[in-house]
Amino acid sequence: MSKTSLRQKRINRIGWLFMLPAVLFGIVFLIVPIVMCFGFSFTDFYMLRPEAMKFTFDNYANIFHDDLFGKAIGNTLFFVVITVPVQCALALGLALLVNKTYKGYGIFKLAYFAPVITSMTVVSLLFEILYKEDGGVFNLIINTFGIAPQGFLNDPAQAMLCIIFMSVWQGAGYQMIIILAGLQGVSKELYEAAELDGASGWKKFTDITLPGIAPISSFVLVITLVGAFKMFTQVQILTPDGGVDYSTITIVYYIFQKGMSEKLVGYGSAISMLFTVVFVLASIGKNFALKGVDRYKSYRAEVIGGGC
Amino acid sequence: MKKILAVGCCAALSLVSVLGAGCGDTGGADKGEFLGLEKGEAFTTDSEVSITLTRPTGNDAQEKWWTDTIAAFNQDFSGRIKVSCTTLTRGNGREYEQNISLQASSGTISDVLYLDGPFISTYANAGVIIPIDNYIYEGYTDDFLPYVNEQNTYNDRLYALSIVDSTVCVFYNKEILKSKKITVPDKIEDAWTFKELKEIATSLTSSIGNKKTCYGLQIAGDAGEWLSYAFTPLWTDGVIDAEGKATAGYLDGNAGVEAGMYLRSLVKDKAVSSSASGKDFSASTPLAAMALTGTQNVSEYLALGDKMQDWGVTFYPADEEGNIAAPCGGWTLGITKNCSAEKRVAASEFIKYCTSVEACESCARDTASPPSRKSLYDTMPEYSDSTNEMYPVYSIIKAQLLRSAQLRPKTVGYEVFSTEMSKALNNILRGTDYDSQSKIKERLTTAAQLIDKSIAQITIY
Amino acid sequence: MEKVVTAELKIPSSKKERKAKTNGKTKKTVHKVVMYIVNALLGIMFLFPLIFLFVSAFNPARDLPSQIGSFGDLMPEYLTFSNFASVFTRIPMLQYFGNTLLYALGTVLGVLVVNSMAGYALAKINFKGNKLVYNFIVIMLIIPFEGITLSLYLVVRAFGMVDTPLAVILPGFFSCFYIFMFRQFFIGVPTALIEAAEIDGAGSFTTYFRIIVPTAVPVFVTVFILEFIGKWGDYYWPLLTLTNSQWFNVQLAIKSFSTASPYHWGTVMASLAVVTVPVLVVFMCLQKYYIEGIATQGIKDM
Repeated sequence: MSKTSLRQKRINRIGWLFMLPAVLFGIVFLIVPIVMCFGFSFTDFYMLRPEAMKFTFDNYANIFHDDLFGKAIGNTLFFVVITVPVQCALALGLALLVNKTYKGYGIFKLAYFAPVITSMTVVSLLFEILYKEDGGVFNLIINTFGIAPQGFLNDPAQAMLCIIFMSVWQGAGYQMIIILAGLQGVSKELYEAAELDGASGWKKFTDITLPGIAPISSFVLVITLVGAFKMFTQVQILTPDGGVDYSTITIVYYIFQKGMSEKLVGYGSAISMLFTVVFVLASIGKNFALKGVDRYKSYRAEVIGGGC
Repeated sequence: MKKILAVGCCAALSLVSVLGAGCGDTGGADKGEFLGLEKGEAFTTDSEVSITLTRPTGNDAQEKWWTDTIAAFNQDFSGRIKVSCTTLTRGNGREYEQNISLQASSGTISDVLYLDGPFISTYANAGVIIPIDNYIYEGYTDDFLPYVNEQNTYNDRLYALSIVDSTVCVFYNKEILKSKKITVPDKIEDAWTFKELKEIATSLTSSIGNKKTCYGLQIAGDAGEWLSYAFTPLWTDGVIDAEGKATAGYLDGNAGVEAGMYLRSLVKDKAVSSSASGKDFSASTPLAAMALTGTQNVSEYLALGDKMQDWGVTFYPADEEGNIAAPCGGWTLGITKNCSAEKRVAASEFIKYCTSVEACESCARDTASPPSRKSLYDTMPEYSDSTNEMYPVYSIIKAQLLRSAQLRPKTVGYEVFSTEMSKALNNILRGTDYDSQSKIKERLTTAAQLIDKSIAQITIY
Repeated sequence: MEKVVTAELKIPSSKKERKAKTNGKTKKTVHKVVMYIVNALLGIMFLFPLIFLFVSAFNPARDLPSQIGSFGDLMPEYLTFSNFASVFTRIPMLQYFGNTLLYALGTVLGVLVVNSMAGYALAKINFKGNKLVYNFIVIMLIIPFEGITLSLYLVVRAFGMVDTPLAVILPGFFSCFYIFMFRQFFIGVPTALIEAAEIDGAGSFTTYFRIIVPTAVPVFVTVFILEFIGKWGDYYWPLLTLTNSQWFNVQLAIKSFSTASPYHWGTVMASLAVVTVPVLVVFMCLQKYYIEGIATQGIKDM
């Protein structure tokens, strides 16, 4: 690269000035805790006895003999694979449904957002009533169709699906509201022009709407993915014991159980770190793969590469 | 990479060592010299000592008792000791314990701590609470129930004192049992066995119309500890080894598998619902005729406005030989390592004040809990006067606690033990495919392995 | 500025266009009706928990129906206000509302300033390290809060912030999530707009606050709503850091209704309804900013 120009220097200065508050707060309340967590992951830190902390590699070695951790990974992946596409599609659908200025649409936006607003306690009470094996609403409904009562949360094969169903229903409004904000950026005139050209609804959707919300869609996809990987609250409220045969424990549930409940901070930290590292590697891998595709497709050589 | 690692560890270690400074004194078997006040000796000081107390938020009656007691103490010791109290949210699960642990890890725990009895081993082993026997004069503990003292002891040292206690009984709806002509034992020798309880419960289960069922028995409780607390006595060979370190071979031993089979048969024989809620018994249209539940619910049933004639109590079920091993144990007051040496006498005075005969009596009465002192069972009219309105209930509790109380297991890993055992029992009760003995054994084995592994991690040093 | 946000509608002039417009109109009406029906049906499904909450809050019953024989079991026999009365008389609810409002608004303000500036820098200022910081922020999204709870607690403790409002306000300021979100929004802002302003002699900060922020109202509103709701419903972190009941937020305060016996289901639901209302109000006040297609065309023409 050539010598930094005066203009670039100014840009650097301004850029970092804009970043300054974030950098300060980020270091204190995120980087420092992560570094500490990283440090703890090489110790046998037991919460009630910090002074006896000793250096050890055992945590990382133990993870690989931990059946429950394997189970947690499997459950989490299952949750991610189903939830992410379903929830994103539902959120997009809802956003498109209410992205109109018709009279009274405010109530619909509110309706779709309602599960997000409603406290998790209410949602869990509600789903407890719905999912009960004995005297629950869902079993009441399917009974009228002559179907035998289901175990739902009591059935290890169904429990995670039950959590996915609640999770998607509860969380779609969150993504919807973000997509809705993204839709504001799509020019109305483009639609009008397309209408004059006689474009079909589907064509307008694929040619105008989707490209218009591309940056925000990738954001929604990433946060839904990350959120799904970190899923914890739903499990804790619907199946506080982690489900029959640990069928609903997730990675973060397990981190919480080890690190906070059982007070084995060292072990909990090690799982957190491993979880993060795997995710980082996966995203780097994804970046490389995408870059490879880009290179193959275009003649434009990427000069400024991604730093990570 | 090596450098980052070193930096990370140093950062972590240094921060914690700074924050956790000033600890030590984990207590040995040697009691050492007596540092407290003799019986009748008044506390004197040059300047007022301030003591901090941490306790979980309770119900209205408990809150009132604590507020009144602390106010009275501060009045009596005005100018000498001042106690200030922090109440932490109890939460649904183990939020209180987690909060205390966090404070312990940062060295900011209060001087006096109110903690649940079975956690004494955990906290004493980690040195969070200190032995108090050299601050409590000889003979002070004589009036307490022997098992309460046993609960408050770890490695032969006394760590805490209790105000009130708890146990598990069978509560029943008088009307339903009367209509089915079932008589309830009122002498402990005649107590139902577990098998009888199941048969009676099964016979009581009936449809009450509108697609609803009134089950014979309700055994649900909170997700954390309840099932292990309520059913540990079914493990007649014990659930853990003498050192409190290994559950393998106990939890999933022959008696354990039999206990698991028994619990499963409760669901299979429709004695209990597979998805009962803890409220089934107390509802105005009851969905359970009986409830195996803790004495902490007495205040709940009383507050319901239900007349005493609506519900009654009988003994925790006996094993086939007729022996009862009723669960018991309650919250206790201990002194933490953060309480500096010069404040410990004052802290022990406060603990003695809260556990005095008068305080125990008022707490037992106000919060409807069995007292921890023996003498109160003879002097409190609720427990000794057969004309007292509460006598029919409290006399059962009294007989059970004085004769057949059995402590929860003493282990440094009580948290993981109680949680994992409860999870396993919950799975056995509710899981859809738990009808085979091998599956039940497998589940108990999984729980035992997890518990033992976690305890090994705790006791690594 | 007004010019920037108002759309210039092209008026169809030729006959052919007019005819197309009438055809479109009937089509539009049908479309409109269908949309209303679909929305109404779906809406009820999603609105159910809120309805359930508010109906239950007036329910005199002590206990949650644990077996449902018919849907009538979820309906109260009669309606009562006494649940609400006990919510406000048993605890100093207004004080907790004040606390929570302080935490929520304090955090939201910080979140909006700190993260929007960072997001803008990442989107529109090509400073050295931009890519690196961006990648880092996306990766940091995955750090589970539950994994660093203890470390964060020790940091907050070391600053002496435990048991002060700062403990729940300051750690929330920096958020990878919102930086990422702001960046994705700002990327769509035309660079020409920024350049035009800078040619006029405006400094970077002036450009940002006077030109860019006003065009990004929807994203600011969205972040406001999301963070406000998040802070309002926060339970675990305040539980650990606010041990003095005078600083409790509403979630901690109403926990006493559902954990201490005697437990009254109606009161629990009433307490939950009471704490839900402010969030509903905030959402209803702010949702009018979600209007279809605020024209950005005007901006692009500049």
